[in-house]
Amino acid sequence: MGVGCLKGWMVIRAYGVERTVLVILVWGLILEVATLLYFYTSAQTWRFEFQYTLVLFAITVAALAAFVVRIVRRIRSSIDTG
Amino acid sequence: MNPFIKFLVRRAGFLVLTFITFILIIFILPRSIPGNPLATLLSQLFQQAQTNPDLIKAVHRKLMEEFGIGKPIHIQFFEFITRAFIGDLGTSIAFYPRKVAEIVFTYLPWTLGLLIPATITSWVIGNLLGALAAYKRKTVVDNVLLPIFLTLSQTPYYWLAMLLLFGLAVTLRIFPIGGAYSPIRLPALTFEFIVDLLHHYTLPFLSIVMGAMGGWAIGMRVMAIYELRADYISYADSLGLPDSKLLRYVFRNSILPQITGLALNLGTILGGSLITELVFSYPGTGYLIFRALSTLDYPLIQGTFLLLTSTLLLANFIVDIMYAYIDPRIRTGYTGG
Amino acid sequence: MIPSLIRDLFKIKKLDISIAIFVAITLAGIIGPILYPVDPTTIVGPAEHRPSTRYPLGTDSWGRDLLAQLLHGIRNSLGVGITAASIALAIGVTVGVVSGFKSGLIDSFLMLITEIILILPSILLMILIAAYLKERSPFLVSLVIGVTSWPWVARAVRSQILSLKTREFIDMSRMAGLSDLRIMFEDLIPNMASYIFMAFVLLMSGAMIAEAGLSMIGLGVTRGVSLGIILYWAQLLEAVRRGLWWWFIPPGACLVLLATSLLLLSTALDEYFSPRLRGG
Repeated sequence: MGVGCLKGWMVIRAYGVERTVLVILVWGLILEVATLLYFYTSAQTWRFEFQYTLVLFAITVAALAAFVVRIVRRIRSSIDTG
Repeated sequence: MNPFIKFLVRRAGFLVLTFITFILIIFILPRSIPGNPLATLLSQLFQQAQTNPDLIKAVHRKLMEEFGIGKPIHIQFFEFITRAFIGDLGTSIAFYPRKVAEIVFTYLPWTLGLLIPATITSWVIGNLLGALAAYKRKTVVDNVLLPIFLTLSQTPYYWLAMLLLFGLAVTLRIFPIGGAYSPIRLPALTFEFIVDLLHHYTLPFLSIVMGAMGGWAIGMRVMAIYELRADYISYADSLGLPDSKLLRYVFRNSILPQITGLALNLGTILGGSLITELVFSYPGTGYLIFRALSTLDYPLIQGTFLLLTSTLLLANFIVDIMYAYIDPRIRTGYTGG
Repeated sequence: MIPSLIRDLFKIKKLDISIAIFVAITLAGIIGPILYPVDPTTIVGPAEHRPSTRYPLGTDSWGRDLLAQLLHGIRNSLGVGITAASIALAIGVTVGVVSGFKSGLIDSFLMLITEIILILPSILLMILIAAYLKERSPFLVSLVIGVTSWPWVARAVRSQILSLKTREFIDMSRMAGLSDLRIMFEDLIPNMASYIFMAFVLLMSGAMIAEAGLSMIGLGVTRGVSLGIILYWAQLLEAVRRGLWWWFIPPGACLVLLATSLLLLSTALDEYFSPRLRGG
């Protein structure tokens, strides 16, 4: 996934677990935005699914923010010490 | 050229390439079945007791138009792509005359509602437990937790779902036996409905959380152990002990990173969640795909897969860029393609 | 060498247990149907009968014997697992070795294909391909699974080759004028034998779970029984909601046990091989 020749361990160390969660969250975000856009531009704007997605959107954004902060912190610190 | 830009362009190129490959697969498959796919479809419909001739004619006409049967292949492909870009994914057969896009977006939030919170929760719990197991490595804690995690990582979510459903819903009657909400209620943002929703939400949620937790825990444990050993190594190094060299190479040809990677494979998590919906008759994308497959509703299958995969590819791309932006080492360390 | 290897392996306790479980279930699958010659697909008794002496695991909604189904199911699931793993291993190792050894254009091209398949979710790919197959024989199902699971093997093998390539014995073989093919077979592959074996074990466990997943959606083998198919029928006929626990608990449990024991096996092997690789 774009990390070509990094050795097995370095890949896990640098990405592995975290990357998968990140992809799921970003993926969810994109799909939520698509859903919101779809319903917003359609006839039935305020369906329940729309409201549900809105709530999910908030949760996803919050989780992503927290996650990214954590990653940035970790990578910045490992660059300093590494 | 700025290495970051180079990286970006490279990943973008890969994104486009993968996307085209996937679209080709989606496009070619239904048309590669020998015989007229429409004829099969229509005979299928007929068997499903759609005996209204007007309806069948209407469906037939719609399909002819949208599949473009009879037109040359490249025209079909072109129409397919351009339609997809404006968001017209065709008309469903099983749900005729609803449009595929409308159907997919109606079922999608329910899947996301399960998947996203469950992923977050299972990650957090898995992380904590994994780190715990790593720090208490040689103790009872780890010796008990590790096998549990390993087993959980190999347990299909839908089987856990069956167990939970049987134990808590059928036998103990604490939770409802299926669906996203009680059929008598209308979906609305009212307190009672939300309670009912959450009541139905719990078991599917737990199935996914428990199933996925194992994977995250193992991953975290492995990382934490590596960190611990790295500390030990630098300590040993500073003392000039020769063993340090040995320890550094202990992980070289290990399959451990692979085990972790496989347990956390996105395909597994996705597939597991989708099938879990089936067990609970939860009206999400998994349930939708299942119905589409049973009724051979090709437009629906195509449309759903197209939406899911293209967004996934996009997400991968974005994450790659994010990592490259945050970690400069990636851009320069990136070799091979 | 082999006897001491086995003796050392058995010192690792994890291995004992995992091998025991795996062998037990496998034997049940192989010998079981012979010792218990009931046909899993014919109706033999009353429908939805609880486990009893006559029907040790009860019957399903059509009155078919569930123990027979389980035994045949284990056999077929294992079969698909082994076949799929072999296919994936063959493709993965070949691609990895060729790619790692012959860098340059071939390498980039092969890695590109690998990455494309790697990124597309395996489930979706499998569903797509399987959905358009009319008759799904066990071999076809194994093929579908195998063809979607090899990329990680190729990647891992390639990185090992890359590091092996720089060792002296390769240079010596080259100086002796051995052809590329011979170098690949005689020098590189034996050195990775341990890894290849572990990869096979992992592939097998993944393949069995994948087969179960496909079956649950209705895209499993069209004829015959497998652990996944039993669960599929259970799901379709609402076994869970009707409280027919003897129907869905055993197949799932067997699947989990098989997959987990294989996983434990690979971790135990890993423990055994890793320090050796450095010291030896």
